[in-house]
Amino acid sequence: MAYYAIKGGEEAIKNSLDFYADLTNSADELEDEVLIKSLTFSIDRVMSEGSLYSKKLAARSIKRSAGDLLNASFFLRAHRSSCQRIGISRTIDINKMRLSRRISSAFKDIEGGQLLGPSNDYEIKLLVDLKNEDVNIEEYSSKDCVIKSALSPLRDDDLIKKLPKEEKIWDVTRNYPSAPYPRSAVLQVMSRAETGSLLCVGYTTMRGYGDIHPTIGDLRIGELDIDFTHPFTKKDVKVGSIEATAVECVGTFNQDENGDTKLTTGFGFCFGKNETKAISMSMIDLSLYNTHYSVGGEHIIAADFDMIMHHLDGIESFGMTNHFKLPHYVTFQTDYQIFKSAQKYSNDKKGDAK
Amino acid sequence: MKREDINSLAQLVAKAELKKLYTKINEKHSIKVLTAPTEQTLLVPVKDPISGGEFYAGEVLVTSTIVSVDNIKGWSMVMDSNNKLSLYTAVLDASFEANIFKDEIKTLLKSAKKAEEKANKEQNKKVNSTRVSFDLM
Repeated sequence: MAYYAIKGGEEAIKNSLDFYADLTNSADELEDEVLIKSLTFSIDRVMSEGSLYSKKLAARSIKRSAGDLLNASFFLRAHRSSCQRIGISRTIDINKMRLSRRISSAFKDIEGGQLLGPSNDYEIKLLVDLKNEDVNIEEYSSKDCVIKSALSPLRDDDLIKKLPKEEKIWDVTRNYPSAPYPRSAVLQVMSRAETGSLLCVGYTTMRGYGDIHPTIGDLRIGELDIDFTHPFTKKDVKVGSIEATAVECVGTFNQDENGDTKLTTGFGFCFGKNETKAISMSMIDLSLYNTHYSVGGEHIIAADFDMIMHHLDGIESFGMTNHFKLPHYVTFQTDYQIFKSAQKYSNDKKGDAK
Repeated sequence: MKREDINSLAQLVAKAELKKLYTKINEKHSIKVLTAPTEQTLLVPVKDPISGGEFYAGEVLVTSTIVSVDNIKGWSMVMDSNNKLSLYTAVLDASFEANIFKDEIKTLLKSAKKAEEKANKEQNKKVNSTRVSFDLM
């Protein structure tokens, strides 16, 4: 397919933008702070898919796109590419998360307990006014909840399958790898992927296109510190903290490459509070690196590295799909002319035969 | 309090309070902006529990500034798009190092830390109130 430059239409484009502004400008009446506090899950989703942690800009992007979250992520991703990257923060470890929510459906009793956190999992999804029960939290502990993953004891006992450790961390924003894809690139792609795409592919692993029925070993939402080096003292400084979601799902016990029987797991991590995304990512991770799960050697989407690496990014798929709205006159006319010529040739042949 | 605590603690202070102290420092000392507040990103690596390796989860938007106060350099890197906050924080960083208004800086940051700790405790009570152990039927 070829692209062709177009010209003209300035007046119509100007008027169209003005019309769009008329339609959407009332979103500017919403204060950023109000949006950040009230639509917290939308803000988090946009930051995660835009791959830039900035609540202020996420709020501005949501307003600019009048609530179209995919479009908002696009604004954020574009802004990201316009900023200088100053460096790399210290590596964050999910075991150091200050938890606001922590669930394990694999273990009933776990060290530190299960924390439902702020959740509506157990709410009836009916759009009716529900009475808020009176709660009294004064009697509860005010201590921070920093708890190791529920899978840590199994890891300590060497019961969990390990994958080879990579020496170099790949960065797909600077250099997109070719197959075979490094694990760090695969996880990065999924961490910034579109939630719905991950959910769709993750769901295939449980339905007719895979045979995984994972359990959530450890789902955690909370805050993690971002540390960097002070340029003058050369000591670590806390820049701030981010909210994040991490999930370790567990499959079943299987033989690994060395013949040892180990528990298979998958990992999901994303910015903000987005457990659907992190769960989906962990399921796909489990499927990718444990292909023996695949049903009878059939083609399994969630175990196909090419499929995962090239189809989950919301900004890319959104951009590619929407570009078809732009003028493709020459492309279509070329096809049309070829069809007409072929049709004439075929008719002429039929005439000759008579 | 260490110099390295200033960057995160200053972000907890109300901007009006920071501005007040900045103005006081500016009236009596020479503040030079060496690198104006600039939006930058920090790449965030995350430990992968399965391989023990790492991967990049995304980038965090930060605003950085370098100043000098009476020729002593100060720096800040604050979260998000926050030019004023970054400037004030860098000035506090330099002033702390230069022993300028050090007690006022400490007092301001300590009170912000206290307020933050109180808010965290309230939040923790909410979190801990949701601890559950389901019974099997």
